[in-house]
Amino acid sequence: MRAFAWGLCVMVFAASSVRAQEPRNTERSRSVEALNGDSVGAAPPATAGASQDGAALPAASDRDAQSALVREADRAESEARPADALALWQRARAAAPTSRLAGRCERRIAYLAARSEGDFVPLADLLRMRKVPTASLDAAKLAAYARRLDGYPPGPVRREGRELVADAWLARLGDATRARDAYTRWLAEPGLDDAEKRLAASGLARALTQLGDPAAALAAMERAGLGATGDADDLRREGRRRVLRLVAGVLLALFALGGALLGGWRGLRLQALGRAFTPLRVLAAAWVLGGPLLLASRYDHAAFDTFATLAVCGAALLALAALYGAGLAEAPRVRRRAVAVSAFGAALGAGFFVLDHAGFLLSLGL
Amino acid sequence: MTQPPTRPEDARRTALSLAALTFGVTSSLAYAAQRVFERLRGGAGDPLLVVFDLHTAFYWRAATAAWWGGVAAILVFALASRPRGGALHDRVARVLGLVVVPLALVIAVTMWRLP
Repeated sequence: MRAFAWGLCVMVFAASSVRAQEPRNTERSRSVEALNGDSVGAAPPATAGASQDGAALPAASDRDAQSALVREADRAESEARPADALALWQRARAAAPTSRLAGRCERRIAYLAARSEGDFVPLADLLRMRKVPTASLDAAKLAAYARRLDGYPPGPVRREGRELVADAWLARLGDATRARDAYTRWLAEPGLDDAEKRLAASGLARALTQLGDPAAALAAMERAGLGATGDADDLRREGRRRVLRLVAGVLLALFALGGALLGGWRGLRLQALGRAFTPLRVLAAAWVLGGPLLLASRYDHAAFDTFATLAVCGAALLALAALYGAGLAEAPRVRRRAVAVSAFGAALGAGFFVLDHAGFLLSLGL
Repeated sequence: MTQPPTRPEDARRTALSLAALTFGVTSSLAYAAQRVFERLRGGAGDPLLVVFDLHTAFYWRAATAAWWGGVAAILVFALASRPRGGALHDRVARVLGLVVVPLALVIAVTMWRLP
């Protein structure tokens, strides 16, 4: 009885194994036939395998056809034929919907379909303008495009066109006034998203800064809700520096002109040079100006330029102060002290200009 | 009250003396100020490191302090060697005398606390 039960189990197991292997054998035979060029019945010709998630992979011929269509679509876009490009992208996607390139096809279709206003005429114009190299872009060409934009329907293409025009006025043609107007028109476009608003406001701020109005630039940033950004902080800093540059320039002018007018001009003579530049004074100047240069450059080679500039400017100021001092030797004490104080201010002003030029002001909190 | 120097050589020697005194005081003070600044910024260090650590920073501090001392000495020399500066010499000497004693005390305490 036990032997019969074992025999029955073995027979059932063998039968189920044979049934499970049967389709695989059939598929294998179909594949072999396909490789031999024999078309059998309803075997799927375009399916060469399966992806990991079970989706059918396209055949090599379909992938080749898709690649050719993608190249055609790329060419159509680069030749500013967006309608043709859209049709080609759609055909490319249909040729092999599960291929690696299908995702790219989807993205390009979505991009072009979202910019189809005006029967693709505005987009074709935008694509043509984007291809214009900087060397051949002139004000007349850009202004003509800006005028054409006014006639296009509102939408993403017109907004992107406004961006192109504004950025080109500012960065490529260097016309901050027209850039300011273009950024203002871009900001007035309907349907701007937050990212576009930020770009337009920061471009407007750049244009206004170039026009010498950082306060208006900062106001534009704050109106766009960008008052707490790093760009706004830069504008505030730039505003402070403009004031400090003015003060430094006034201090230098006060010393140079005021010292001469108060009688220092008498020292600007060859005979005064001998009295002004005694060896002890030259030694003192070398210590005061050369010491930091030596220390700083030995400590950090990158600091040499800044300290060398400081030393040269300081030497020039010291020389002028010494000459003025020689010219004012017989002048009343008040005048001499006024010139000395103005020399002190001029040294501060020159130091500010040097540090500003070297980009060290940020580390000083200015 | 000291008599103001009458001869130019004496005036020059007096100014040089004052400048040398200023150099010594100011450079020591500048060194101590740098150490105090480093202590405030970096906190207290391990005293053993004074022995074991590299002394590169010491040389930089000493060089910077010497420069400051030189600048102060130049200023004092320029002030003290001016014509009609006899009374000024006295004032400078008195001020330095008034300043040097407490400064020396401060420097001694600082060097004791901040090796």
